[in-house]
Amino acid sequence: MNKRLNKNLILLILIVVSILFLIRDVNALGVTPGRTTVDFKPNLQQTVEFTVLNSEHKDFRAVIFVEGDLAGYVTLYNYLIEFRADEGSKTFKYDFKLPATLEKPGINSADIIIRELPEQKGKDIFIGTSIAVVTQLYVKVPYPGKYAEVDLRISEANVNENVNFFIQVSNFGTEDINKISAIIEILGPTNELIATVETSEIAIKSKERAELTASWLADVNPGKYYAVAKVKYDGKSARAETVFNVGGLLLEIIDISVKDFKLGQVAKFDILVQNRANEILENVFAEMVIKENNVEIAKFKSANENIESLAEKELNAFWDTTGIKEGSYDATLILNYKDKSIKKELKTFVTLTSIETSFLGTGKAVAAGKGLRRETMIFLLVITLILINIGWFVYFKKRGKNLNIKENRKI
Amino acid sequence: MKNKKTKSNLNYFNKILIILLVLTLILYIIFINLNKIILTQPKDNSITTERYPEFKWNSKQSDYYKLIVDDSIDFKTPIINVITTEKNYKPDIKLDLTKYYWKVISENTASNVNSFTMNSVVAIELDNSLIKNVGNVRTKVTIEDRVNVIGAVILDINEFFETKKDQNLFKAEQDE
Repeated sequence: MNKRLNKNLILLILIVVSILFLIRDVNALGVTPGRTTVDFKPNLQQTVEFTVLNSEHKDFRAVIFVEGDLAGYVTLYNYLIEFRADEGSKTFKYDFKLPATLEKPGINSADIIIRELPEQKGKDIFIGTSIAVVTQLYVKVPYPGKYAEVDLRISEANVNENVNFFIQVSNFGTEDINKISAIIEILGPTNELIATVETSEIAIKSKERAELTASWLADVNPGKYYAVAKVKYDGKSARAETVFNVGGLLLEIIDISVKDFKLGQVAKFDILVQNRANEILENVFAEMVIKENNVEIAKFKSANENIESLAEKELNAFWDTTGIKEGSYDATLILNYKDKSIKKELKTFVTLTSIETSFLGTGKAVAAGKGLRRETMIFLLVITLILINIGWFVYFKKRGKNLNIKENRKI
Repeated sequence: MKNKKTKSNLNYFNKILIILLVLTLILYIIFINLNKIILTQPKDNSITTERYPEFKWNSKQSDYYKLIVDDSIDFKTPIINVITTEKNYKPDIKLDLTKYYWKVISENTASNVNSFTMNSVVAIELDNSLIKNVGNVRTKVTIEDRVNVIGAVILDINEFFETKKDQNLFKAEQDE
């Protein structure tokens, strides 16, 4: 009897626990777009649409209201919205009318807030947790004069290889920047200055972006280093800094070659790499940058590949040589893996029928073109047919005329 | 009699000529149409919230296709500039929240230029005591009790945090 009672009790507990486990109290709310950004124009007037998402497909009500610097310039169409369980999304809108001037440069904003209302059961209102989502209105007011924002990115390398620095510069000022350049300081683990490199000098128009680049030969011990980019532009300055690694790279470039090439067509670079790590490397891809007189003229990359431990794999990257002339070009091969990258400098010699790469002192890959392509053949065939038809047409017309003349003469 | 025969010969040749010309024309139209590249996905002027959108196009088989995606219609600084042998491409970089223009070029022809806009989705899910970012952007969640703002947390896509008993309101806004 007791045993039976115990069994029933255990069963009851299991059922209760299962039910408790299955009950999920899930609330979800979404809005798209999360932000609408416009450049400031005096008295700008616009209507903006936004969609509220009911991804949990529940019955609910929500209020919409506005907060922020620009709240006074925003007019809502709806203040209370209702969703039924079968409604996955609904679109709403608001108007904004900007003043003639906005004093604060940079971002001025208004938050349009959609807040789920607590569930109402009969006359009672349940007070529990509630969620809200915001669709923002951003108005970008240009900074008076010259104003640049900078971001430093670094392509890491092995010991005795080149580390490349890229500084993205955005001109958010009302005026053009005539001269901008940067000095990059490389600091060691104890903050000692190890090296200094300089970028070239460029100009950037108002509201445009550009990139400053520099390279440094990492003839140092493997480890973590710190880079500080000090950017100077027309008497002003900006700064960006980040940590980077030297050494510890797991991929080796074994060979690079180009086959079946014809100038003006697409060149296929076969890049043979080896995974020296004791683990599979996922999403490895190669990127090539071709330069002429230090100016980038092409950039292309291979598909992503997984490379087994200690295995070799060929990565294929394609270069469209339309408009490229015969001659010598500088190239950089970048291998990307695990948020790291390896760079190798190459020299490429382009001829009418070959691309020769000079890689770590070795000349590689010379090949002849393929001959006529299928499409070219079809095109030539069509042209030939048209010419033949025109020929026939002219011939028979002439012959017809001659025959008519002869017949007329006989008559 | 001879005149009649000559005239019938002429008619016969004229007919052949017309048929050949029409056939050539048809062949030429087929050739032109076969070479066209039709961009299919993302649809022109569409809005997408997929940060890694798949690009798809239709055309006759080509040795390669060059896909160019840029946030400017002049295609001077493309964010995607790849050559592929497939008729689709899924980028491995997360696209920014802006309007993009894209086109595909093959050996002999190029597509039209299409555009699409990448929109953000700010969305949170409150699952019992867990708040999860189920949108497509990094999101700042402001936490309030019944009276005051008591904190905020930045959640990456699909990231979550555990709420406490005195936390009652969670407000999510885009943070990138």
